[in-house]
Amino acid sequence: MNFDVVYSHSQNAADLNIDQKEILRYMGHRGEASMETDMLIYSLMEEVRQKAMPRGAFVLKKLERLRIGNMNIASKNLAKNLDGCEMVILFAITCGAQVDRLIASKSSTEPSKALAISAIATTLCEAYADSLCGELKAYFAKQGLYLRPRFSPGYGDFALEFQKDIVTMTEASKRCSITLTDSLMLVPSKSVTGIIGIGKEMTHCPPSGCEACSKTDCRYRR
Amino acid sequence: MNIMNSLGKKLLFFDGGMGTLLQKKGLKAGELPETWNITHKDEITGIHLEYLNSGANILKTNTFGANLLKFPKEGEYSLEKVVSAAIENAKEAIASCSCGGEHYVALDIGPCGKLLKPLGDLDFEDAVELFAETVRIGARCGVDLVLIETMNDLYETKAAVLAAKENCDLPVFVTNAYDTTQKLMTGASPEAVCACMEGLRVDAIGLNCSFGPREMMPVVERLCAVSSLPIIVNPNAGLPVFENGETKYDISKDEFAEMMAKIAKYGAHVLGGCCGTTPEYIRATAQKLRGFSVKPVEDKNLSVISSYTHTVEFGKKPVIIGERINPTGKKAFKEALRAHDIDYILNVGIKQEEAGADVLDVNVGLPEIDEAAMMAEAVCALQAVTDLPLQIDTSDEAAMEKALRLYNGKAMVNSVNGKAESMEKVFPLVQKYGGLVVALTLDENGIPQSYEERVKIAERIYAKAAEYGIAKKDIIVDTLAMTISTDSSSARCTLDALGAIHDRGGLTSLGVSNISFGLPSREFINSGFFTMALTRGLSAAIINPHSVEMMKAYKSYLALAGYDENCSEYISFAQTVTASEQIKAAETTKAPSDDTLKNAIIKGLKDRAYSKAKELTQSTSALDIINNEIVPALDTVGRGFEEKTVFLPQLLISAEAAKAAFDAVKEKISASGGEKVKKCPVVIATVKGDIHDIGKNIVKALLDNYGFEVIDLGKDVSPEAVLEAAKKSKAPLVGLSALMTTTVSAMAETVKLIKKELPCTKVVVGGAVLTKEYADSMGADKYAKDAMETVRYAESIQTKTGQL
Repeated sequence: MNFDVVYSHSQNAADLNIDQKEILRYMGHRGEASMETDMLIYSLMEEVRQKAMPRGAFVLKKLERLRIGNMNIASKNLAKNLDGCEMVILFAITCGAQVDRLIASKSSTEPSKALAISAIATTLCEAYADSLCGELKAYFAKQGLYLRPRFSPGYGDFALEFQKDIVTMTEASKRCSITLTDSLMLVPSKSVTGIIGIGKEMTHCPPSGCEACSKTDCRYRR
Repeated sequence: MNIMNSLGKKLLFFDGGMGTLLQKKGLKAGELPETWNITHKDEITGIHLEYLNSGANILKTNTFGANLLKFPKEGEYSLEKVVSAAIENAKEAIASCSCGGEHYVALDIGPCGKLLKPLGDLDFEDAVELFAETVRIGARCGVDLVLIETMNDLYETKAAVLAAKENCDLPVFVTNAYDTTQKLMTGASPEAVCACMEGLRVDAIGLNCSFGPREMMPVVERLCAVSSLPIIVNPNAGLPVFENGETKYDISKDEFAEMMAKIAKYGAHVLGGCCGTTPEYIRATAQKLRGFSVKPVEDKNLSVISSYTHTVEFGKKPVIIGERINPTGKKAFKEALRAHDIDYILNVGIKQEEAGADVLDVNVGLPEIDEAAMMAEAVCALQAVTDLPLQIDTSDEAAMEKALRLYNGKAMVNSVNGKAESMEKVFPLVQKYGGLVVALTLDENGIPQSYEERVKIAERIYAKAAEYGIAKKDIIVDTLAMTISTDSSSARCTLDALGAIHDRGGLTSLGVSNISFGLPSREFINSGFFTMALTRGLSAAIINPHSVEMMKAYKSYLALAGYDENCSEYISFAQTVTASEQIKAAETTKAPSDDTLKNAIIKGLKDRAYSKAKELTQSTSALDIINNEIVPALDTVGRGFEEKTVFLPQLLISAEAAKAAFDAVKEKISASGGEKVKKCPVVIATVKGDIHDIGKNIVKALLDNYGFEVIDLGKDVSPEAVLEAAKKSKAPLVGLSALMTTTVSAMAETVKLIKKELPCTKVVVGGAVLTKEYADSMGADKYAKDAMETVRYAESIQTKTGQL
């Protein structure tokens, strides 16, 4: 893998493992699901998998004194995550616009289905991100290198503005049709951008995701 | 020289990639390549010249990302400067080239980097204007053609094509970037792209970027099979990909040329390269194909319409057009139009899709509403929720133009007739936007009584259409079904005219149900007439797809006429019909003790709740059903939600069941002409900049259920629009949702405006990132942590204002 070369990636949605518990969590559900809720998820799972087009792009970059190209990482949380890394991978992935269409098609008439589709797609998107990280982890392990947990704009104090840099540097608009709105929302909505540190040593992972978030009353919190 | 003289007659070559070469020459990551037109003039001209010397005929200007978003007026380099310098560089290269041959400059237009509404936040007309600015500069500077390339969304492609067509007379070429699934990322099939582009009268279509020539083959094949236009193929030299844990690189120039030769044999007319290709790749390809003579471009004579995903073809299997989106004779529909209830229209559309319609007719005309505005809104809303192609049904010229313009595909147009005035109105629109037009066989003298006269009118319409460049394949003749209750020979005349048109190779369509007007049990006659028309060659029928009798006739015909392999479609249809009859029978016989409306809602059994409520309306007053059954059921579930024994999914499932019960009650009220049962109006919206509306829709569903008159403004709504709606409706409560930290400021702005202009109106806010502290700081009256809390707050406002 070369520095500064953007690599495209794609995956078959059928090959991604979806955790039913995660879907329930994204639907705002706690504990055992009712039969109706289970049926609801089950009835839509296949359709979401069919409409989803997991596509992504990533680029390997040198990290020098917390700078990645022109991007200056002004985030204590991320700096901690990247401590000891000399290079990083910037990535952008999506489940595609068709999933958004599917959500919209149910949104006004059957909001329960829209909620379920959205939750399934979010879970699928996270599963895709994990799967890509897994592939990269195996790739770099061969060179004796270790990956840090992926870190996305919006985690802790890592500002959403950085999505712009990541989308640009990964050529995400051209490679996989990921764009940003003026208010920094990713389109398609089921997309993830982020940074993965690569270091020579296996470190004890600093917390990320929910654990790193300060919004302790969030109903989606793990 | 005009490229149109050579296009499709001999092989032409585009140049290859620009970006990769610029990177090699030192373009930094993040630097805009288009600025090099000014700062590195010699390098750009040099690259162009290298391509010309390698055998390229058409140069793409270095303007892929040159638009007002990236080069705003107040920026360091103006768009005007960047584009004109780019064109100058290309022209200079051509002037200094000594290799001879045909050379052209193509104004290169890439995606604008934002996705259009409803997926993204860019308005369609704003996108058109964005591209228009670039086109105007290009045309002024004297390019030979416009190339719209790497588009991975059909709607954005259409915006760019309209911009080109409306601002210059140059040839327009379009190439799209397909995914490995052989679709655009937003869902369009190659056939759908082709239908839409042919409708817009572009000059050549094709594909570029995404992947190498080998992977492009299947899409090239599909395009060649349907396109009546010359085909362009500009592949990558294989983009670097990461696959099965390994990195994969470009293919060599020789492999590239080998593949391109195969592509030329499939029937491509213009070849070139995209990312990673260099002058060497073009040289190898041009050398390999020296002396190659192209397959002539031929008219495939296909009658197709398209949505943003797929095409529907006419002239083979008969097409079902759902007629229900039409206020004629429907009280509830008229009311929905007057109340601006778009959801009602969407619901009618989605249900017809589920019932098996191939196309949806859209008629929203009422004397007292602004039809053009309503039509535009209905078309945009429908194409956001259904992927069926639409038939634009209006006699209002402005409404027709707006709809055709905003439609994401090639629409069906209903209708034109033999009157000169009608043809002069409709044909220019079809010529500009594309479409398959329904032609009614009537003229200034009315509807002829003889079939020969109806055929003559059809012939006149064909001839007039041809003057506008609209081919016979894009005309579908409606020989007008008139009721047999007043003229017993009318069906025969309609069918004879239909048969005659069919024999002349024309397409036919009928509004079938008119035939039985004034008769009892109309479905008997309708389905019989439908079968007769089908046997005479009917290509499309405008019917009610919910009518089991009509669908029985249709499915049986398909099986009998050989359109249904192994009768599989018929068998599955027959099974659903018998199954639903059995369920009905079973439901009427067994009635367990807990089979109450209340229980059906609590359990979330939608169909059961509807039929139970309908049953109750026979014996109980509407108000009693609502107060003694529906509301207590909702309260049980709502309380459970608050106590955390019931969760959001279950709450929504119950809400939908309650809605079904309400619908049954409303039908009864509307039938008996009684008063509406509504609480106070509540205006809700997702704030400006925020395009995620699931949360807002959940709140809406619940408020609806609790009887509030919900005025839903949708997503990405400006503070001014919220204020206006609140003023107009005199709603005592406004609900706002925002999902992201970046849109909370827009929420604060909206709250501020409302509090300033309407100090008595209460504002409730909610959303994922919001907290009570945030809400207080922006001056909102209430922070609701979930949908139920919003409902409770709305109820407290309702009690205070004492309406109902």
